[in-house]
Amino acid sequence: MRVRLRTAAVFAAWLPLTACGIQETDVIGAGSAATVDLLPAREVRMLLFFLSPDGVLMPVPRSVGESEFAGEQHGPDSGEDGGRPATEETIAALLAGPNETEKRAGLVNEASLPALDAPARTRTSVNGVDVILAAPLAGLTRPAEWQLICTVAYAESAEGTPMVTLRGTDGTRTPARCDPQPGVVSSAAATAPR
Amino acid sequence: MNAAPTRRVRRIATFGLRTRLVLAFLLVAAVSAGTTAALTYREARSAVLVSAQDTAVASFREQVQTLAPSLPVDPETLRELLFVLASKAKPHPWIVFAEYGSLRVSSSTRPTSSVITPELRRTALTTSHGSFQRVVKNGVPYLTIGVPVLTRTSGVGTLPTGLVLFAVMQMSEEQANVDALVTAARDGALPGLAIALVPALIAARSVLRPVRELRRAARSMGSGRLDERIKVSGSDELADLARTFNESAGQLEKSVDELQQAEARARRFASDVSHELRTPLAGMLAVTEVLDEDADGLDPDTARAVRLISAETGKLAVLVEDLMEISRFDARAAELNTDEVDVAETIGKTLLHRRWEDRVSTELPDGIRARLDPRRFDIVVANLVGNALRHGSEPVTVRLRTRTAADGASLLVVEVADSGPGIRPDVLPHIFDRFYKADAARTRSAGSGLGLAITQENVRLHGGTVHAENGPDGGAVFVIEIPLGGPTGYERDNGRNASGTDEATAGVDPSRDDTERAPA
Repeated sequence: MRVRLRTAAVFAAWLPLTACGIQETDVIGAGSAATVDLLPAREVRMLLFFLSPDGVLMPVPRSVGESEFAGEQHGPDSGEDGGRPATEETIAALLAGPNETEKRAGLVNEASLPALDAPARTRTSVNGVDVILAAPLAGLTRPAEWQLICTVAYAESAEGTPMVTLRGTDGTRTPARCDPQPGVVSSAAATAPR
Repeated sequence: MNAAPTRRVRRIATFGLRTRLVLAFLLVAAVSAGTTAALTYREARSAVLVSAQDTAVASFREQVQTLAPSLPVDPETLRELLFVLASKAKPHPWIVFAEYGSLRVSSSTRPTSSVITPELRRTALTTSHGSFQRVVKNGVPYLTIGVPVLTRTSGVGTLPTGLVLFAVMQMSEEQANVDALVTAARDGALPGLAIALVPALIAARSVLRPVRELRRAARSMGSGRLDERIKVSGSDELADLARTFNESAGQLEKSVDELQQAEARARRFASDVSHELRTPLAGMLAVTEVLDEDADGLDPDTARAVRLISAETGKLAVLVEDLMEISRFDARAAELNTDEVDVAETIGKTLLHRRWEDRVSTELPDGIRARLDPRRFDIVVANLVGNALRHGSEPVTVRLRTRTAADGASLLVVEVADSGPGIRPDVLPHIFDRFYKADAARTRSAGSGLGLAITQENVRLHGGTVHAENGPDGGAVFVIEIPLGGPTGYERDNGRNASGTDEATAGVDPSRDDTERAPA
């Protein structure tokens, strides 16, 4: 018995050395992400939220001045007031879908988004912003809803903080705030066909 | 179930003290060196790795931060950016992979990496902080870093862009460093073990030397040198043991001394008594002889009484002679005067002198010669034959032969067999004891009760043995075996013992061995 204990002690003493070399690890969090400036400036861009093939909500700035240059047929007109584009224009640009560059990166619109021919209006309310769509909301999926909410929120404010209420021809959705954490909508995995 | 461990323990226990001490020292050294080396190694390894990882992660994030990619990213532009990133690798070259939507771009020829695990990819895609993972692939360790790119929407707000950058860096140099640590730990521990041998051997020596001395002293005490003492040095347990040994040896010596003195006094007393009895006995024998001759002229009752006195006086004389002989043996004063003799002839003379040649049948082959003391051999044969005639019944047979002992020595074998009822088994072990009577009722036997004891002492003096047994067809058989070449072994033993007990036996004067034992 004593001999066995002694053997065990020797073994235990040498055990740490047996794990030689460099070991694999799990994924370890390390500091913050890289933060870059969003170009172009807010005054000359609109920020649209498309979905990646993985269903991740991705913000895409689109320079307003370059819309014709990009050869996009549904590009928004220049803002009437010469400043940043109006929210309605931004919604129209979102509904029009990704342009060539964006499509090349695999960005898509959620299929249940209303068609472009259903114009939208916005209205500032006590809660934040109301988006009035000339289309039923019944088929609108969660990813599509997030696309609209975030696009509107960031069009209305630099921080994307306002509450957004979606109103359709058939009802109203609960007011929500854009929460563009990655992976929030990925669970839906709603990848629309191009 | 217990058999195997028990056997192992027993095997370990048979190791010497030195081996065990050295093993224990080595074990302690190995455990401490191993533990120290292991802990140092672990700390050093993690320091090396942490330093490399932290540098890599921080510099990668810093480099990514300076890129300012335009969104949505264009693959060609992104590739250019990745080349820039790859050229600023720190601390080692890395390959940069980017993921944006369905775009997969890298600074190498392959757009995706096989080293980056799905876990890291998922973590980088779904969280807004950097992360890294060490991966070992085909024995090569890699550090993989995933950094999602966020974008500032305003002063404080950030927004994940969906762009994730991965860096894959080989950790070959770290591995080399870690391997060097292992080598250093081994190269440090092994000489440490070798050095640990030195104190182990010294400690073993310091324990073993007193132990060896103790053993030597104990052995020489066992062989009779009771004055043996150990030099006590130091004040440790071994010194205590030595001191105790010395005290015990002293007490033992004292009690053995007392015993020997008591024994010597008893022997001297027996010897003195028999001596003192001899002189008056000689006179009595002379008187009884005269009375014996004149007995016929006396009246019958007086004649019977006179003859009885004469016979008993004769027996008393024999007893006193035997007692004196035994005293000489006890005092180790008996001398052996050997001579080369023809054994058959010597036995024949013994029987002839005692007029037994008619009552004893013999098988005495000629030509057997041995170194014997003829007087003592005569006593031996006479005692055995007389004993057989007295207690057994005729015919009594004396056989003579030789045989070779197990150790190659040639032995003279003399057998004296009678045809009596034999010896009872419970008596056999005591047959050579002094004054031992096989039949307690027959106290008044013809012998002195010392005959067989004297026989045994004489045979021993010749370096031989005597034993009694019962023959296959009844009757007692006494067998004497004596070396043909003389009592070489016995003399040496006897000489050493005699020198060891010189003091004790000095009281008995060997010069008293001046009398011939009267024929029975």
